[in-house]
Amino acid sequence: MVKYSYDAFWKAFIFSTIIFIFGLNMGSFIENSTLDKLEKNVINSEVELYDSNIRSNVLEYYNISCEKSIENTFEIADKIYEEVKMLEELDKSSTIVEGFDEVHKRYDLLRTQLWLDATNLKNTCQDNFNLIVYIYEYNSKKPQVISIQNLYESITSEIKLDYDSEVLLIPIANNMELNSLELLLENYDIVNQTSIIINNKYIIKGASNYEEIASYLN
Amino acid sequence: MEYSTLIFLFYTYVTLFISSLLFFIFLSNKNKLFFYPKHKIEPVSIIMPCYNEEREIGKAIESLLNLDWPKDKLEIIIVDDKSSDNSVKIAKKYAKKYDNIRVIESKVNSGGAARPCNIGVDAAKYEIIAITDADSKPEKNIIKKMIGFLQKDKNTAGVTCSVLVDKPPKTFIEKLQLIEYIVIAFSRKLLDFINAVYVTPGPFALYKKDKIIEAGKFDEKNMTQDIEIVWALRKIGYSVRMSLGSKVYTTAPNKLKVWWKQRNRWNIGGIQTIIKHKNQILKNNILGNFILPFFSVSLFIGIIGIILMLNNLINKISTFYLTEKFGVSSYLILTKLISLPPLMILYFSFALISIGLFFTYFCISNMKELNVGFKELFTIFFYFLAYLSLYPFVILSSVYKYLRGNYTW
Repeated sequence: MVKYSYDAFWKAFIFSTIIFIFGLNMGSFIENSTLDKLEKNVINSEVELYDSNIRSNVLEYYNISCEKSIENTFEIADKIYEEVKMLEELDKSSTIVEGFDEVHKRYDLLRTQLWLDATNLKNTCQDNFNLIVYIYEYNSKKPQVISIQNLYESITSEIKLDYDSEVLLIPIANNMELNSLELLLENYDIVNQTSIIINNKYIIKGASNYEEIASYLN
Repeated sequence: MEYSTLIFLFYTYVTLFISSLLFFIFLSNKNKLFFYPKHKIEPVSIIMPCYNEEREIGKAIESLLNLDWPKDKLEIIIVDDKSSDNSVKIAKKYAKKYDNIRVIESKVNSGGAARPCNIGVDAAKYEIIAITDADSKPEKNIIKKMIGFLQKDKNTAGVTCSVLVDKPPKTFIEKLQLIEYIVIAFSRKLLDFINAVYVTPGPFALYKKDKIIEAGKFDEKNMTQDIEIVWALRKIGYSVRMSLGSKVYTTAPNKLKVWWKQRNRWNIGGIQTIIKHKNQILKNNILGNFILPFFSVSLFIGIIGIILMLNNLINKISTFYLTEKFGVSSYLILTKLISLPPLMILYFSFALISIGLFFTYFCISNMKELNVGFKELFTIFFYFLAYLSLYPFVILSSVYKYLRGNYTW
């Protein structure tokens, strides 16, 4: 009778387990580095927004020019916009490290704060800049929702490109369980819906186009 | 972590384990790959089941007559399964000319190869039997390189060989199958070193007649009697070997439709075999500990993989269609839909593709059946990235046909 050696099974088991664990650790390391970078970004933005907030308070008590404050708010909004874009390029469903959702949530809180600050600034300074708040569902898997979000994203970024310093664009995810945002959105009759709020007055839900949204701008 | 990520990680681990297993088997046995034991001359009965093979049967009989084995120690039994073409006429012409050729005609068509094989087994005069397809051409020395495995070990009941595509492949699909057959032959030899050969393909295999009878002969209800017989033999404690240096050339499908039908048959047969021998799972033998779980997991992964892939594809297509309806540019949508985020899953995917490509190249360079030039490198890439991607679809179609009971040879 032929004698067979089954050592290869053990060797393969040990070898593949080591390689697999090494791969998982490498993967976690890479994802953690990305997460660290994103967390640093969110902290920086939080500090900047806090700073801007204090500046707005100063504005209320002292007669200082609004121009600097508005410019500063635009800078923060643009910076946050780019950072969140980077975060959303990572498909949450394919990550092994937890924590990306938390960073997103912090950004959404930050963006909600930015929306309120911008509204205050607009009122205090009686400025004519346009405020576009784009409410969307983060990491949606539903084609109907994704398609309308693709449309809104394409229109809002085109408007931002064309109007640049006249438009303050703030996209906020509405599915991150933020009570403050939910409360705010209730005022606009928005419950888990993709929509665009222009200058806190006009609300767009469903299909729209560039011309329609542009017509609501100052 | 989402369930799709978990399935992907499981798939990654299984692939890593199987690749490492083959790698370690190769390392310990690299000098024995083409080894075959010495043989003694003894009589062999060759059984050739046949159904509508008028184009190939003449060449197949000629190649058997040319075998390097004493003619008085060889009988050829052609079992016709009620062909409607000239196969019987051609076979009878040879039987008239050569004393050691017999033709048996079935009264009804059985719709498979198992019954003609069983008729041949009953009619065979000798203890060693060979089964060969009526469109296959074995190399001259094939019996010499195979029979020693049966003679050397009482417990060995069957021997298989390298099945290759009839030279030279004319169409691209034949070339892809040549690569596939080379990879299968080489991997099967590696599995032989751990006693895990699970099939003795129809083009040419040797068996001990009494062991085949003990195993209940070929299962006439099974679409792949050549897989089932090996599992049945293993179930009663026999082993089956592989002789890598023995080669048989067979006609590979040259049209996608024929290929699809053949692969469906192989998979349906595989499913039938798994279900028939399911009670062997985790029994203390190689069938229960490795072959059966390996087969079942491959099937399961294939089905889950294709369902996830189709779900993702349908979602992306409907998103694309719905977004385009809003007038958003197609380019913009595509760049959003087809993105490769720098995540661990992506690195793992690249690693798996690299392992697969390397293994394919490694098998080809060891078997020396194909010169690897620039053109062949493209074929290897195509084989690995496109041809193998069709497999999950075949599995899905086979499962569907099996569940509906809608399958014929």
